[in-house]
Amino acid sequence: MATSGPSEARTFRPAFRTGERFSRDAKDRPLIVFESVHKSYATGMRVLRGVDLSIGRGEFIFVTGPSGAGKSTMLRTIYGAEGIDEGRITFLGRDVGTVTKQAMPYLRRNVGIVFQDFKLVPTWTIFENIAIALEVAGYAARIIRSRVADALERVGLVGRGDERITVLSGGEKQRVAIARAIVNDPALVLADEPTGNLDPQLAVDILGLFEDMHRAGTTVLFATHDRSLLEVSPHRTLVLDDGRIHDIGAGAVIRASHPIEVPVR
Amino acid sequence: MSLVHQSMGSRIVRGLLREWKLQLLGIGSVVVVFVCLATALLFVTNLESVGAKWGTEGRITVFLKDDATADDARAVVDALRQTDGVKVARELEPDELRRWLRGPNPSKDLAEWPAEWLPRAIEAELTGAELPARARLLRQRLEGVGTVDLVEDHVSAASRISEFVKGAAGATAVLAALVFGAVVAIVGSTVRLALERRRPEVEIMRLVGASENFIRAPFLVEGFLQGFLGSAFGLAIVAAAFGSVRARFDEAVLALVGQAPVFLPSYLVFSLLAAGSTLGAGCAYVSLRGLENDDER
Repeated sequence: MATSGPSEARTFRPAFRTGERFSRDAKDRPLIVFESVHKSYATGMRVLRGVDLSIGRGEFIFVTGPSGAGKSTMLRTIYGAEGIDEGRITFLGRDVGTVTKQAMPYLRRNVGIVFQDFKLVPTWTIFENIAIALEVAGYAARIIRSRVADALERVGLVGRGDERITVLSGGEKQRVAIARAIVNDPALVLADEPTGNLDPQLAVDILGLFEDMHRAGTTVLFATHDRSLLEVSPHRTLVLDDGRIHDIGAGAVIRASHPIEVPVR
Repeated sequence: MSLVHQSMGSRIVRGLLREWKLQLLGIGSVVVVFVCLATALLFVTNLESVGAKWGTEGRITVFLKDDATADDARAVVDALRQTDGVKVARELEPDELRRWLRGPNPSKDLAEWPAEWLPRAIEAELTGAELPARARLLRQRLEGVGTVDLVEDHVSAASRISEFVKGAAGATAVLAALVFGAVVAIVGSTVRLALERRRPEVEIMRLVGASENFIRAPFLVEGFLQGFLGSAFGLAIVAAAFGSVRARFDEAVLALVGQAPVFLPSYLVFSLLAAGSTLGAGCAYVSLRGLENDDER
C-alpha cells in the first residue's frame, strides 16, 4: 500500500499483527505472588503464617528450612495440591484458589515438578515416563518423540528411552524425573528436595541440571535442607521457619545453629 | 527409543496385559453369571415356543376324517366364517400341517409325505372375551359334524403352559436381578483393585496435568470389556452346550413335546451383550467416583 503522508501512515494496518491479546508488560510481572497466605493442618499445626512473597520470571530460588518447616506444603499450594486457609496465591496472574477442579490440569501443565522420591512408574520405560507429560496435553506422537529425545539429551540419557526404570540408579531416576518436568517447557519448575536421596557429588550434578534449565529461562523453585548446595550455587534464598518466610537474598551464609538469625551478605 | 507412545489404546492394552490375572478373574466370574442367566432364558424361550404351539387360547384346529373331501372342508370353513366371534377360518396347506405336526424342523421323512397322506385340517381363530369358554362350546358343536374326526381347542394346554411360563419368567427375573448384583460386585471390585494397583500411576498423571477423563477412560474401557467379554463368552458357552445337547436329544424332545428346541432369539442375544457391556462400564464409572477424593482439592 502506498503511503504519502503521516495521516495515511497512521491508518495503515498490517496483515499480520503482533499478538495484542497478550499484555506487552506481562514479562515484567511476577510469576508467583503469595499474599498473606495462612495454612494449617487439621492437627492444629500452623505451616504458613501470613506469607508474603513475590517470585519473578526466570528466577532461581532456594527454599530452605528445617525438616517439617513447610517447604513441601508451600510448593504444593502453588500447583493446587493443597488448599490454603487465608490469603491468596497467584500463578501466571491467576488466583490458584479460584481455579476449578476441571481447570486445574491446565494450570499444572505449566509446572514441572521434581520430587525426592522421583515419582516414576517402575513398570514403564524411561520414554513412557517422560512422554506422559506431553500425552496428557494431547500432543501428536511425532512431537512427543522429538521432545522426549531432546529432554533425554538435556539430562544426559541419550538413547536410553527403552530402558526400564527398575534398572536405573538413583541419580539416573532423578534425571528421568527432571526430563519429565522440563519436557513440555513449563514456565515454572518446582523441585521438592530433589537431591535428598542422592550422594553429595550426584546432588551437585543434579543441581547443575536445574542451573541449566534456569539459564534457558525457566523459573526454578528449589526446596532443600542441604545447606552445602546453597554455597555451591548462590541464588536468592528463602528461609522458611516457624511458618514465616525470610528472604535473605543471594550468597547468604546460613549458620547451622539458627537458619535466619545471622544472614551474611 | 520406543516408537510407540502411550496412546489411549496402548494404555488400555498395557493395563489389561499387566493385570491379566485380575482381568481374567473378573471376566470369568461374569461368564459364570451370564451362563446361568442365558440358561434360564433359554428354558423360558423354549417353554414359550411350546406354549405358542400348544397353548394358544382362542384357536381351534379341526381335523377331518380320512374320507373327507375338499368340498367337506370348504363347507366347514364356510360354517366357521359365519359363526359369531370367528376372526379367521381356513384350511391348512400340507406344508403348514407338516410344520404343525413336527415343529419348526420337520424331518425329511415327513417332508416327503404326499399331501393325500395327510389329514385335512382347518384352523380357526376366535376374538373377543371369554375365549376358553367359547372355544370349548365351538369344539362341542364341531364334534357333532359328521365329517369331523377330532377338534383340538388347546384350552387346557394353554392354561397349564401359561402358568408354567409365568412361573419360569418370574424365576428368571429374580435370577436376572441376582446377575445384575453379581456383575456390579465383580466389575466394581476388579476396577477398584486395578485402581489401587495403579494409584502411583494415577498420581503422576495428575501431577503432570492429566484431566479426569484422561485418567478414567482406560478403567471405563476395562469395565466395558469385562462386561462385554463376560457376556459374550457366557453366551458362547451356552450356545455350544445347546448345540451338543440338541444333536443328541433333538428327536427325544420332539417326540415328547412335539417341538424341536430353539436357541435364544437374536434380539435377546444382543440385549444380553448390551446389558453386560453397559453394566460393566456403569460399574466401573461408579467405582471411580472415589478417585476424585484422592486429590485434596
